[in-house]
Amino acid sequence: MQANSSLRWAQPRSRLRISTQRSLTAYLLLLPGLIFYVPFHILPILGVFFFSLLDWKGFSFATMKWVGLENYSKMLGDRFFWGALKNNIQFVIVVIVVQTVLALALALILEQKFKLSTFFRGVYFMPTVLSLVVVGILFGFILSPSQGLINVFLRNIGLGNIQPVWLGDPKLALYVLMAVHMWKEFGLSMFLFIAGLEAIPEELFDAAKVDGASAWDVIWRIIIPLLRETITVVVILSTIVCFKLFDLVVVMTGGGPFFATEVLSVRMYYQTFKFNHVGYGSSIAVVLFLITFAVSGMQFWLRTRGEKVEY
Amino acid sequence: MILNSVNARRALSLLVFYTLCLAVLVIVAYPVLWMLLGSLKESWEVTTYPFSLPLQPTLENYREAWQVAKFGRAFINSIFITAVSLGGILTISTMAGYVFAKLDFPGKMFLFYFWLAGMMVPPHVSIIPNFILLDRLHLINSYLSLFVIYFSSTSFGVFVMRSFFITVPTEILEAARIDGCSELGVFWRVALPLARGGLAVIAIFYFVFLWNDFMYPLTFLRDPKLNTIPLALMSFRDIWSADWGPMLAALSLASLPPVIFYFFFQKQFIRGMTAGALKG
Repeated sequence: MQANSSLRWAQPRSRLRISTQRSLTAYLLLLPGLIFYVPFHILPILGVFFFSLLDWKGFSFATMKWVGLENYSKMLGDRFFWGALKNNIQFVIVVIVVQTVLALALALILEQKFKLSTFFRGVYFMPTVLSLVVVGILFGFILSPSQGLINVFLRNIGLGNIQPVWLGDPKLALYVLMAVHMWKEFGLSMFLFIAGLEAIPEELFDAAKVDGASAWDVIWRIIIPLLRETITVVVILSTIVCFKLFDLVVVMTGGGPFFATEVLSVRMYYQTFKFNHVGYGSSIAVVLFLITFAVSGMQFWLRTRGEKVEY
Repeated sequence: MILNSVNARRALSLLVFYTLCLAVLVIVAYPVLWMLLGSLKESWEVTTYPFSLPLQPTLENYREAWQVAKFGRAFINSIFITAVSLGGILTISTMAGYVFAKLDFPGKMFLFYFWLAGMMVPPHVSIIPNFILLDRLHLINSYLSLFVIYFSSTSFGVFVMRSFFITVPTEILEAARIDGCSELGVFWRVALPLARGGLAVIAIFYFVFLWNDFMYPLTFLRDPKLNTIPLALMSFRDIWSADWGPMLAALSLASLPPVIFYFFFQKQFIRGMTAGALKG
């Protein structure tokens, strides 16, 4: 009786103590992460906006000069900036169309669960774990004009008159990069589609079969409409990955020949770290930030809109 | 008759499937296979008989890459950087993920979304201010520069760990508290072992990122002694542009750890990487 009443009396105070204790634990456990996250992940975004308003040639603070929006007006008249943006957009469009169709087709095929289908999937995903530097150097060898695998192969089968210089040809280089990029990345899109397909209830297919629908009908009238969300995710994801394109260009072409493969991230990097145009480089970084932020914002909005988020 | 035509159609579509899948298989696997086989050939053989199997398989290229070109040092550097960074990222992510999933405190939702927003920032955007800041702190040309940057890229890890900790029943944690377990003990001894699956997912995702990362070491490291594998590969390419054997050996060495891990932990890899793709 007495124990009971003393317990009741003690409860509010100890509950208060427990909640402050838990808050303290919470802050304590968050602190190590925030110590790095705030100065090295959030502050730089503010920093890059600020630097983009400066004329700043070197990395010493003494040479900083405030120029307002001058870098942006310079950008409008910089045809290499527009060239890089055009390359980015061209890259995004081709990769989205080709990779999405290819990944979806392969996902549909591999979902038929025939012998070896798990083996095929497993191998298709393998390039995603490789380093882009390895991939870039390896394909540099394979595409080498004189001794590379592809041109040697063409010669061996009697097509010796077709000997493209691949990465050395300004008309071809960007497409070659797209192909290598897709070689490495398509497995990821394919697995997103496989996950989407596995979420479609089996009964739908059985019902369609009973109704005498052809495979083509099933694909266009059941699968594609139901995969709409996955398709959106894959398309947006490929867009973001394409705007992050950097390693492959630096390793394989350095932006050349004649700027044919220079993309925004590469132009930003070379302007800043090669030519010390820190202000101008930062303004390109701001544009890059706004583009990717808009695209990932769209993804976030599409995914959280009404649907429950898994994982 | 109908049955026959159904069977025939099934056989025909299987034939088409196999042909397509084999074609894609060759395109995907052959370059990697060629790299591995070429690393066992002598350089003249790689260019003269590019399609043949090695006449006399030799590990000489590996020896040359490892010792003469000091690839061994880069390999050890990469292991060191990956291990330390992974340790830090996993620690930060599990602690913060647990807090956001299981503790209540003022400012929780704000802090969570504030942390989550970091996923929307591509690394290229912050590389300039990061370089300037690290330069001011005299961390350029030291591994500390990489560590602080990697420790700051935890948004994805925090997000995944939170979703795993949410599935741990709160009653178990309460029971542990009633039994006199401290707040930190509840986290470490009760909740964490139950969220191991999340650790596997983020460990794999970050391992692939850290092992292969190119831009940060390229920007922050100057001394060739500090080279990571991707940087070493880039400088080898300039030296060995005509000597493909050792170059292919170095490329194979760089790829073996992720590829071997991948074939052992395929399911976890695919899970980790697709989750990373969806959130990153």
